[in-house]
Amino acid sequence: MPLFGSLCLILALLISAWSLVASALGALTRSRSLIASGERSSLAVTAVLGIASSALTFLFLTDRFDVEYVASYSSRAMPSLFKVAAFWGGHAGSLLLWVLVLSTFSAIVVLQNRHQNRGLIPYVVATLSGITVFFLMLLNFTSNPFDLLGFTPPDGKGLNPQLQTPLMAIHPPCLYLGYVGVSVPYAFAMAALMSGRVGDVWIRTTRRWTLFAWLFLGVGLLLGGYWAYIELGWGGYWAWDPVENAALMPWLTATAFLHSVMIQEKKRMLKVWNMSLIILTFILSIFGTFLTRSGVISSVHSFAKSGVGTVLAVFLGAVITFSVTVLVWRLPRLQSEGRLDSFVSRESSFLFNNLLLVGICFTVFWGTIFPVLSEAVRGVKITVGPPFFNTVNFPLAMALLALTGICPLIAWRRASASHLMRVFLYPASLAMAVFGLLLVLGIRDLSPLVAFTLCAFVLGTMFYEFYRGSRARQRSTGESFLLALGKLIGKNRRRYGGYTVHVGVVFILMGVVGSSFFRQEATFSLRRDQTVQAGRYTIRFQDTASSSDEHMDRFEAILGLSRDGREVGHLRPGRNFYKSFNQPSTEVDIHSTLSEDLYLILIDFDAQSGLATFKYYLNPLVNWIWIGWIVLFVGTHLAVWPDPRERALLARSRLIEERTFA
Amino acid sequence: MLRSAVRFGLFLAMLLPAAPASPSTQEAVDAVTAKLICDCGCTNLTIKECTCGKADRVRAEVSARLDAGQTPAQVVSAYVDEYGEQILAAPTAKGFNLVGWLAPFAALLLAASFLILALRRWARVPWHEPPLAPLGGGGPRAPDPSFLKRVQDDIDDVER
Repeated sequence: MPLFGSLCLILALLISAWSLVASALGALTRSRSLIASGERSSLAVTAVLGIASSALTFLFLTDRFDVEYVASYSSRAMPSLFKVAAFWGGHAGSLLLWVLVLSTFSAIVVLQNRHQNRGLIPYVVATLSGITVFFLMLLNFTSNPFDLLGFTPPDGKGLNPQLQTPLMAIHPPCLYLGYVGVSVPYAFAMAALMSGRVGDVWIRTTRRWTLFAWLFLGVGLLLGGYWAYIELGWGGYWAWDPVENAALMPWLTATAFLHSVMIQEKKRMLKVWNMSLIILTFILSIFGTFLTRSGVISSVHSFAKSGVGTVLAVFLGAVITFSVTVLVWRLPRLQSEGRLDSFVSRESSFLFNNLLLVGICFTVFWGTIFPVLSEAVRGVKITVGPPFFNTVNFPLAMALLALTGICPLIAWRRASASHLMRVFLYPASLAMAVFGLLLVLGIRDLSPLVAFTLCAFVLGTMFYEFYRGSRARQRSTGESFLLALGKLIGKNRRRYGGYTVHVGVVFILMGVVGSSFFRQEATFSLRRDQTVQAGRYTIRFQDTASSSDEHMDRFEAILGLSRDGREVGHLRPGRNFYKSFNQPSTEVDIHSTLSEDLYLILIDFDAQSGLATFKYYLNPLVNWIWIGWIVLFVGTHLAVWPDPRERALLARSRLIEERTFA
Repeated sequence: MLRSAVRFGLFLAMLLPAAPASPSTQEAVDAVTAKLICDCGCTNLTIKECTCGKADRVRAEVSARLDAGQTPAQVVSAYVDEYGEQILAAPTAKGFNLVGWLAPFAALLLAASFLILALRRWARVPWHEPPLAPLGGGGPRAPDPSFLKRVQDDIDDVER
C-alpha cells in the first residue's frame, strides 16, 4: 500500500506536467485537442490524488507504523477521528492535503467553465497545473508521506494531545481551503493577462471563488484563535505568532481586493491595482507556506524541514518574477476607461479602505521580518512581539473602522453636502450617545473610548442602511416592513451581505477591544470550602475528582460559582496526563455569558496540604468575537449565493469581450 | 493629513516610558513582565501572559527584584544585559529600531499622499464626455433647481 501511494504521487506529477504542457501549447496554437487534453488531465490528477489520499488515510486507520509518517503522528490508542486528522498533522501529509485541495479546485474550475470562458480557460488550467506540478515535485522529492522506516515500531508516537480536539481536526483544512482557494482568482488574473482579455470577465467569474477563499482563510484564523483560547490556558486567542501573521496577511489583501474590484466593475478603473492585489494575495499565501515550512522563523506552528525552505523560496521568486513580468508586459492594455466624478465619493473612500488594509498588511509583514532584517544590519537579535503589533495597528484599525461607517453613507460617484448631513445625522448621534454613556460608566482610557464609539457609529450606519432601504421599498410597493426588508436583501444580496459582514466585523472588534483593555486576572490559592471574589463572581473550591481511561489520567477541581449571590453553576478546571505523551496538559473551564467570560485554570494542587492554586481571567465581551464570526459567515453566504443580477452582468461582460476578440 | 498627525502623536505617546510604580505591587510586576517575551517556544507570549514554568520563575524573580528596591527600568535592563535585546517583547525606540517602528507609518503617509494626488487628478481630468453644447437663445432651458434636487435625492436613495 505505501508503494502504491508513492506510485500515485509520481503518476499525478506526470499527468499534471502534461496538463501544464498541453494547456500552454494549446493556448498558444489554439489547438482544441491539446486544450481538451489539458483539461482532461487536470481532472485525472484529482482522481489520482484522491486515491493517494485514501491510501494514506487507510494506512493511518490500519496502524501501519512501518510508514515513517504514520509512526510519527499516530498511535494505537488514538480515536479514529484523530487518526484521520493526523493525515495533516505533519509536513508531508499537509502538503498532500494542499495539492489534493488545489487539484480539486482545478477540476471544479474546469467543469464550471469548460463551455464558457473559452478564451481564458487554457491559460487558467496551465497556471493551476504549474502550481500543482511544483507542489507535487516538493511532495515527491523532499517529503513523501509514504516513505518507509525500514522497520516496524510497536506503536507510533501519536499526535500531540493538545492537537487532539475536533477543532484541530478542521482548523488546517479550513486554512488550506482559503490559502489554496486564492490560487483560482490568481490563475484567472494570469489568464486574463496572458490572453489579453483584461476586461472584468475574470473578476466577475472569480468573485465567488475569492469570497470563498477569503471566508475560509478567515474561518481558519477564527478556529485557530478559538482553539488557543479554550485549549492553551493563557486566556487569549491571538499572539501575533509569525504563522498567524502569515495567514492574516493574505486575508487582509484579499479583503482589499474584494472591495476594489467593485470599482473596476462599476467604473472600469483600477485594473492594474486589482491585478497587483490578487498577485500580492497569492504571493502572500505562498509566503505563508514558506514561513511555516522553512524554519526561517521558529514558531509553534512550524514544521521546519530542511531543504524545503530553499525550494519554496525559489518558487516564491519564480512566482513573483513571472507575475510581475506578465503584468508589466500588459500594462498598455490596463489603462483606466473611466474617471472619478468627485473627490468625495464612495469610490475614493474605497481607495482609502484599500490603503489602510494594505497598510495593516505591511505592518504585519514588516514586524514579522524585521527581526531578520535587524540581525542582518546590526548583528543583534531582537524580538518584534505583540506590543509592537498592537501599538502600530491600533490607530490603523480605528481609521479603517471609521471608514467602514463612513463609506456606505457616501454616495457612489458624487456626494453632496446636504446629502451627507442627512445620512450622517442618526449614526453620528448614536455614536455620541454611546460616547456619553461610556464616560458615565467611568471609562476614561482614550483607546477603548474611541474604539467603542466608532463601533457604535458603524453599527448605526449599518442598521440605518437596512432601515432606509426597507422604508423606501415599503413606500413604493406598500409591502409590510419585514417583507420589504426581506425582499430588499434578497434582491441586493451582494450589498446587504456585505453590510452583514461589516456588522460581524464590528462585533469581532468589540470583543477584541473589550477583552484586551478591560481584562482582569489574578492568581489565588484555596483550601476546600474557602472562597475568593472575582469581579461579580464568588468562587468556592468544593472538591477534587480524578478519573482514568485508556488514553489519559484526569485530575480536576470542582468549584461552585455564584454571581451577585446567586448560584450559577460549577467549573471544573483540571489537568490531563496523556499516556502516550509524557506531559500534563491544562484543561481550562469557562463560564460564558454575553457580557463576559470567567476563565479558570488549575495551576497546582498540593495533595498533602489540600491547597489548590488557580488563576482566573475575566474577559469582557470576548464572546462577541465568536458571535461576530457567525454573523460574518452568514453575511458572506448571502453575498455568495447565486444572484441572477450578477449572472446577467457576467453574461454581458462576456458578450462584450467575445465581440472585442472576435 | 490631520488624522495621520493625530495618529502619529498617539503613537509617540505610547512610546513614552511608563512612570515608575511602587515596588512589588501586581501592577508593577505586570508592567515589567509585559515588556519581556517568553522564549519557551510554545507561543509568542510575553512573560506576563505565558503559562509555562519558565514564565512563572521570571515573574517571581521580577517581583523579588522590585521588592529589593530596583526600579522597573533597572529590572528590565538587567534582563537585557543577561539575555540580550531579544528578551524585549518589542524593540526599543532607539537607533536602527526606529526604522522598525516608523517604517509602517512612513509607508502609509507616502502611499496616502500618492493616493490623494492621484484622486485629485482623476477627479479633475474629464474623460470621454464631450463638452456640453453652449446654451444659446434657442438651446434647451436650464432645468428648475428644485427639480434637479429631487433627481439628485432619488439617485442618492437608489445608489447609495
